Amino acid sequence: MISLPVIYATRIYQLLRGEVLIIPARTLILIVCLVLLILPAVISQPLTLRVLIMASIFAILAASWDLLSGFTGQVSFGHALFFGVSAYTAVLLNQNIGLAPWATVPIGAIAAVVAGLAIGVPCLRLRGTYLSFATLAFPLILAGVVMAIPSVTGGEYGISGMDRLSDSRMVTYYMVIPSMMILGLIMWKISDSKTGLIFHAIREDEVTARASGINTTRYKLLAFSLSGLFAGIAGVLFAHVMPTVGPSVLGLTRSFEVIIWAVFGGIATIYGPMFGALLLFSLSELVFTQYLHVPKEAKLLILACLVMLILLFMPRGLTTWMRDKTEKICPRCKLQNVATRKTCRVCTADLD
Amino acid sequence: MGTIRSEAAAAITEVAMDYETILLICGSSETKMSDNVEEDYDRYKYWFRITPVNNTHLGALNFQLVGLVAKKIGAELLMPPKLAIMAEKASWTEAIVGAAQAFLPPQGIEIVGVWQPSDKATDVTAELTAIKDSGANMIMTALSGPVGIPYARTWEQLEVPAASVGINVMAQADDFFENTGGFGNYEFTLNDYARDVALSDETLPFIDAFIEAKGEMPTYNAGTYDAVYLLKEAIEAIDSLDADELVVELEETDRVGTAGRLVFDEKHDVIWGPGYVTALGVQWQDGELKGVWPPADGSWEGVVYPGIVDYQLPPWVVEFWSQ
Amino acid sequence: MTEAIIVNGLVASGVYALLAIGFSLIFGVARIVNLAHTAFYMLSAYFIFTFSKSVGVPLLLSIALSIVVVTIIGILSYRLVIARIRQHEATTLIVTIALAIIMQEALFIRYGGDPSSVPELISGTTEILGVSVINQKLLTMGVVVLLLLASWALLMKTRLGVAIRSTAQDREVANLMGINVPRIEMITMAISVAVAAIAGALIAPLFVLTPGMWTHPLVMILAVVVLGGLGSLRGSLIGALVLGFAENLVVFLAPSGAFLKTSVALTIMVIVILIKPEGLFGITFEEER
Repeated sequence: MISLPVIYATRIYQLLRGEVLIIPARTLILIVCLVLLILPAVISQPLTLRVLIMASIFAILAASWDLLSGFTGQVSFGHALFFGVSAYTAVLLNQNIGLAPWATVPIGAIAAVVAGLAIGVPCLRLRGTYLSFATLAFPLILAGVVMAIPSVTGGEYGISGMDRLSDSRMVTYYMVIPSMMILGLIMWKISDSKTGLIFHAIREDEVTARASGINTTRYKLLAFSLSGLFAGIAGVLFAHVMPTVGPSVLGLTRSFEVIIWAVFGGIATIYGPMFGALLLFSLSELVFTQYLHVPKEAKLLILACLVMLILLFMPRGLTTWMRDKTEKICPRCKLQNVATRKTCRVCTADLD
Repeated sequence: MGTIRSEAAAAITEVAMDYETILLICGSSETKMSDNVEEDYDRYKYWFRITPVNNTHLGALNFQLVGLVAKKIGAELLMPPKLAIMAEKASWTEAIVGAAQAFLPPQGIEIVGVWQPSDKATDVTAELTAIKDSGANMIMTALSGPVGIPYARTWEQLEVPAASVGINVMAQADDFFENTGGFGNYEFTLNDYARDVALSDETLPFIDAFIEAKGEMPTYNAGTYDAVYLLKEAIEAIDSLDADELVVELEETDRVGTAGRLVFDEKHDVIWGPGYVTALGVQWQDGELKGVWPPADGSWEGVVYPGIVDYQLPPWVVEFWSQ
Repeated sequence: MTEAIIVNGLVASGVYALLAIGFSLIFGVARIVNLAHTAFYMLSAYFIFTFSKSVGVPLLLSIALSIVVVTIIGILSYRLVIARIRQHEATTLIVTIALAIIMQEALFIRYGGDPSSVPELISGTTEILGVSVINQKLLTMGVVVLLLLASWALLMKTRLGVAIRSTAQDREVANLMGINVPRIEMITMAISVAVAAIAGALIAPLFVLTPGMWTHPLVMILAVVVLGGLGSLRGSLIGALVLGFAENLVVFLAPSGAFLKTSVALTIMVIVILIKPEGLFGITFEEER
């Protein structure tokens, strides 16, 4: 009789061989994940860990933007709203009532979902560029409110001294990094499901989607709430790691940064924006300053040039470009295959 | 050591305290940070403030400057002072605005209104037009951000008939005049240094050396210079880099630096007052920054520094009210 | 106080209108959301600063020079960058932001972060209805009116204008009718950047020069064009009036809430487009398939 662990191990092995190692992009993701997980054993420098923790939080945020904007095409210019709402919710609950992170994370995330619905409902009437510019306004308006009630929010100084996720940076690292991976996987699963397909349909042609009997209103609101949920989790984690929250979490820079990471990585992929955030954030905060000794004045300039050049040659983003180079979609069963294959790995149809 | 914006200073403080590293604040006046030292000494004891003096002291200093101008208005224009407050919306200005509203009216200074633009506002024409309409003859400023430049420029351009006094960090810089395009004469602000004013024996040599190296006057952040030596001397005195021992040594500090005599209070905050760090009131007079407070007649606690000149009311203010 | 609100409101509206016209034009014709629009305005202001202060060129000549140089930079960045990726909407947004950041950082490295000022073309103030107005602002108002008239004449009375309008209405058909669409779009881009550069010459002396000076006007003109309706010049003008007056009303009626003026203006924008989703004078585009 075979024991249960062996069955699981075999399943995982089969899954790895059949679904992951067979495609270069997925293998790469696996390697990145493994490197992130064992990295602290090699480099335990506090700055490196801190930057990677932050980068992971921003990766969650970028992926949540992708879920809304990349998939449904509701391009949000104000993603800082969700991030800021949950961060402030967390800091207020933590400082005033003393709630611990395990409670602030879900409550903060729910607050962001409420924010998502609150702007999602009125924004249903708006399309395309109008929607983008309207969403841009929301976090800035809220930032005004934050400045107007300094007795609650601490004004421009913000609120500091939150409880940390853990006193040890290493423990924090092993809380945030796996969370990022799991949340990323969940978001990828959502995007790969029927819901994800409908999101795609809404982006490509909303009228036709509606004509096919899809309640696009409901799905758009679902996209706003889901996106708010994940962005909210990122916001709370950010608040607990920093551990100060000030009006900059609602700033224009934060909203724009998210879009830069996402588009750079490749939208409508989930892993693309995550990769973009991890890469660009650690480049600018760690690699440039620590290893390449780029003067800090030139940091942003180089980064902006890099983003522009990459997008000129890979207009659909870095990972999308890599995927197109290394993968072929089977014309019959729509599964990904390595570009070197002549026939589909599952249905053996001709790929060319 | 650092840093200038309060929000950033707060974030840096948390990180430094995590690592139990000495942090000498040079640039943020936020009182909440020194309150931390009192509330949670074990965690925040590594924190000290060198410059500027904290918000409470800044408020008191501001009143001294406002008082000086009010006296001048009474003497020259023969009218009671009417004050408009122009404070950027920020937590450091809150204490100052609150205190002004509470303490100035009983002293016979009427407050006509409070205008609170954003610290990054690029155009304050509307605010200044409203102040012009309000009948004020004095404006008390509390501006640390870039808004100080358009403020001073528009103030002179519109010839707002009110003398400007208070804190305008932009006006502390040597290139203020250049930055405003030649406007902002008679702007009166708090500062730590003025070119010819010796706060201690160290001041003038430091200012000369600084101008030689940088080509401009030091601002209040130049207290960082004192901070470096303070730390060096403390480390040499105990011959150790142990942070906890350094805290004990720093708490005992009594050192004459470029800005005056530096002593810390029990919240690790620099003490302000006669015989300690006092700061200065400086006014732009014909393109030069002159020290005008504490007054040369010693009317403030008998403190007199060499090199102080008289405060001047802007001529357009005098002209407007003498008609 | 009413006079002060009216005069200052009009002036502020003129400033926003001037910046919004160019942005609206290139969006209406080529559907390009150029987030670097106000960065060109900033660039022009800094060039004037450099030519007139550091090099010592007379002010009027430095303005002319700067408009030419900025327009050339605008054309180059359109040809070399924007034109290549413009069919990818999200990528266009990011690339134009990247362009703006590149300009910002280059200026930061060259000039540092300290605010500075550009000299005014005309100095002094004029009393209107008992309110002192800085002459430079009156000049700005005059130029806004002139520019609006000029662009109306260009669009309505010239062959180029007909070509621009037909490209704006339907790219494909315009192409079929023998209009060189890419060329028309490039000319429109040049006009749009030139207007931004003129704005730099007129408005920059009213504000302060910092390498971050492009973000606030960008937010405001986005609000202006959305409020007025994307791609409509008349809409941009009305949008600018609404927001300019809204900001000034806040300052005059609630002095201690002056810092909220942008938030209030944005709230008004949001309310208007929620009631009228395509803005006040928006052109509704056929959904492209």
